Amino acid sequence: MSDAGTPDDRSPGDADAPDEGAPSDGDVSADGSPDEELQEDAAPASALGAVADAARRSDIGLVLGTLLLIYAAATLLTFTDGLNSVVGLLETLTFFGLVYALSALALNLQWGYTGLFNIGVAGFMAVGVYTMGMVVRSPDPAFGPPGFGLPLPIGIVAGMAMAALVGAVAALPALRLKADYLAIVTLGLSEIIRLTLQSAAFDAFLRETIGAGTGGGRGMGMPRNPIRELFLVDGQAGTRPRSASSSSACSATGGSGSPTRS
Amino acid sequence: METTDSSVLDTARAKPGLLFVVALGGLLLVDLLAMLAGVSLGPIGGSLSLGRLRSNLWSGIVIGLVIGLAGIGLSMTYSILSFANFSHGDLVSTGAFTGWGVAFLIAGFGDVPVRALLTVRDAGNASPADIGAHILTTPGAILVGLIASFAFTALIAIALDRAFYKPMRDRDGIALLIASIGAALVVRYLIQFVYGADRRGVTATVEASNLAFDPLGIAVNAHELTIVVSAVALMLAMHFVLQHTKLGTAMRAMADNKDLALITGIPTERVVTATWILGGGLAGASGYLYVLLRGTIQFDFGWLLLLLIFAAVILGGIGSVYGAIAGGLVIGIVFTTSTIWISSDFNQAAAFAVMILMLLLRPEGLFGGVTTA
Repeated sequence: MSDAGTPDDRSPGDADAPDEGAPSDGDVSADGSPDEELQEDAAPASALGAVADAARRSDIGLVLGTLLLIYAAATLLTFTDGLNSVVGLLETLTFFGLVYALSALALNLQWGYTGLFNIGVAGFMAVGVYTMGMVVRSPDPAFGPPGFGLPLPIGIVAGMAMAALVGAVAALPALRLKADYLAIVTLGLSEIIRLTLQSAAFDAFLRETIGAGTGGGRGMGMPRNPIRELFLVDGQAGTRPRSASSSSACSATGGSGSPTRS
Repeated sequence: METTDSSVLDTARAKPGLLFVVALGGLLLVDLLAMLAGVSLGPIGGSLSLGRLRSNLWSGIVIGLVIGLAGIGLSMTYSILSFANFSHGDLVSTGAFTGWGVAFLIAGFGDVPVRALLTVRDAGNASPADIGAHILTTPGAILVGLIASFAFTALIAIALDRAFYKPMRDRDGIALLIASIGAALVVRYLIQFVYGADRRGVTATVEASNLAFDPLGIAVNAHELTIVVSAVALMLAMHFVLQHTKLGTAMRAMADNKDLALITGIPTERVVTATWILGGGLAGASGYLYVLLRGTIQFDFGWLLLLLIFAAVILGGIGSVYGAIAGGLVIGIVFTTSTIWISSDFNQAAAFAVMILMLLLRPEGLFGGVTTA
């Protein structure tokens, strides 16, 4: 019953509203909500109708199919430059795909399921990544804004927790406002977050009180690939991003090179 | 006596947020008075010269008038077309760039290559001093630029309406809101493509451009005076159009009740076009005046200004033109006087916080109601 309510609130997917309203296929409309985000790029021609229909029945098939298509297109575009650039592009695409899928999932949860139109998602992303950076960065101010020097998993959890806390503040007005007012409020909130994180005064305040900084307008350097930093030595997160060959122990001792290259 | 007391208590109980805001406002007022008197009691008080407060208030009024001018158009599209137009900020930038291109063309024609003038110094290496655009030396160029900014932005606004909003006229507000974000991106990066991405100075500096007002004790810049005069003139013209013309009556009718307006035979499409002309034109003029105030221009300044304009419109009550003006003044004054208490990194955040509090406590705005009157 609750599923039947969601398609009505959801405005962008108007195109498929008549399909779900059709009385004949009750099963399809029952699992119609999970794949709603994927129907935006569908627009199937009549020839592809059967394939699209089959894909729609299983979400994983649709996701993998789209992924394969993107990989194939990326390979086609770069295969003349050699294997290295093909793999590099696939790596980048996978990374960004996963990141944006995560934030799209967040928005789908808020907008798709509950109808809360939040256009300030990026503000919450900023809170998460800044918290993570402040938790994992080296306490030594020589490497830029200091942090707590804790391992990356703790940083990730702390970032999620802080973003959730800010989300709890944003939830206060959520139920009292019309959708377009909420959109403006969430945008205002994310602008406040941006201004705060870029403020030099806030940076100085944080350094004085908790001993970690945001770096103000200059930001903080982060390792290009945080997965390589999963195993930190002496809380040193500032290994050189490019040189994968140098071991982490080496960079911990010779860290004064130029580790904070953002 | 008793009834008023109990009703005050009831309101306080029903709306703890309101109580909090009133308490905070009272505290800030006491603090301000203590600071002016030079008294210092613990965290309260300190020192603040009356001159600084006066100059803060004055610059707040100037910025507020510009924001209010831009807010009029946003409020009109919000009430007549019933959607939050996120491309409004980029209409502000459009007006600034086109208007200053024309102003430069008149001010510096013959001395500087035309291409550098029309692209607002993106091409070539002419300095603002070479072009010499300033209200005291080239008042005609500044005035023609203002009119051009109005005209060009109105054209762009109509083009956007025909391209994006007209085919979606009967869709709901959220769909139009998302479309307007897309339109905003299109306009912003077209501006960047044509005029370049770097921030640059626009107005020339002129000796003795400060006109001191001795009785009030504030120094008024010639450009600030120009802004106040033109903004008030445009607002009065808008007031005349809304109250004393047939078009204005039709606009107010459509804002009030669209279906009723249709039944009574108001040509709604024509009214919508007029709304875009007036609203877009005022947005462009306000962008032009904002650059006159700041002296610099950048392709995305309108987008950064948009949330302040939204704050003004929400504060005054969406749909109310006079509310937008009043809201703009409040936001402008919050923007400048908040630096007394907090770092200037946060004065914009303070304005947004005022907007959010307003939405929470009194969503209908200071003046309330969907009335373009």
